[in-house]
Amino acid sequence: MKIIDTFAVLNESLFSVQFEQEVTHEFARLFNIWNDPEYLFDFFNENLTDLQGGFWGDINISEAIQRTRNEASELEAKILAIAKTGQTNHYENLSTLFTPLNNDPCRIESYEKSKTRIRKGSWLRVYAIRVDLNTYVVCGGAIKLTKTMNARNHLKLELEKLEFTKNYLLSESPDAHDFVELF
Amino acid sequence: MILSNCFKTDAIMNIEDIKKRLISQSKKDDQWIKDAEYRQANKAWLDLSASIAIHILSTLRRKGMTQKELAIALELSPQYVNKIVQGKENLTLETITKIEKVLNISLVEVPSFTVSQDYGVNAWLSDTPSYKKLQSLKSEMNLSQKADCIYDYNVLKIA
Repeated sequence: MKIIDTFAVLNESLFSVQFEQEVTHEFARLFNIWNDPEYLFDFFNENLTDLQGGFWGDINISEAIQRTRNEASELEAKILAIAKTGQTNHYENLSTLFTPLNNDPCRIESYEKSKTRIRKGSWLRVYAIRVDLNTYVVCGGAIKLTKTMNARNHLKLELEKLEFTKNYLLSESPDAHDFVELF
Repeated sequence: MILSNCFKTDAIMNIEDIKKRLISQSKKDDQWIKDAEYRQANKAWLDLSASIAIHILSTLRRKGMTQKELAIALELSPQYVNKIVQGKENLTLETITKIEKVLNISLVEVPSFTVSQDYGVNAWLSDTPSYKKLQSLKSEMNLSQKADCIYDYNVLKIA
């Protein structure tokens, strides 16, 4: 795993990292795949057991794709609105969108691992490291079909990306570091 | 398999340094706003295009057919077919009917409807206050008077 670049998505507030194997940064990548019926069709076929396993009810693939696209559109509209009004309205900023990943509202740590979801009951997540008030670095996202993140490989990967990005930000010379894969 | 993390831990940066570095070293990305605005502005037809894509993808899966085979059958490029199944193509009726024929499925249906005698007028004037007034007058006229009245109104509107 290696971060090859960072991008400013919203001026001085929302940043996004690009991983080595990807053609674009995470924020752009997420909205591309969440709007892509072909990607979503494959994803929901691969995770059909989770999709129809009861946590979200029994949803067919076509409904799941439409739901994902609608949620992505809603989330994108909110971030667009913040991009346009956040500079002048201090109440409409990223801090209203992101919450701590650990679901503990009483504890905000430094370099908090954070998530955004548009509302209760939505399954899309954007994951980011909170650097400071209204300053976040996006490092991934997911369609969360299970209650926890530890049970599925695609969600465990997101946890690794969060940890990796946090260390990348804290490192004095981030370019010099990456995970070592031995085999 | 990831075995170790080689980050330095002896040189921890503070928040202000991190923010400065992010601001000074990050590349500005304006493209996402353009993409997002495009998606928001074109949501209605993009949603339709996505629904068609899902139908095509599930039919291909059911028939055990590849996108390349579909492209050959449609006499279209594989790149174009890939654009269709990604829901990015604003399809023409000609292309839709070609796909329907090749896959033997129905992608678009026009709901049945009845054309009323004054449908044309209703379609473009029905929301105007003048037309609503006209409607109330019409109810007290015979058919020939109605036609004259509508004709007069149209002339007035064009003038």
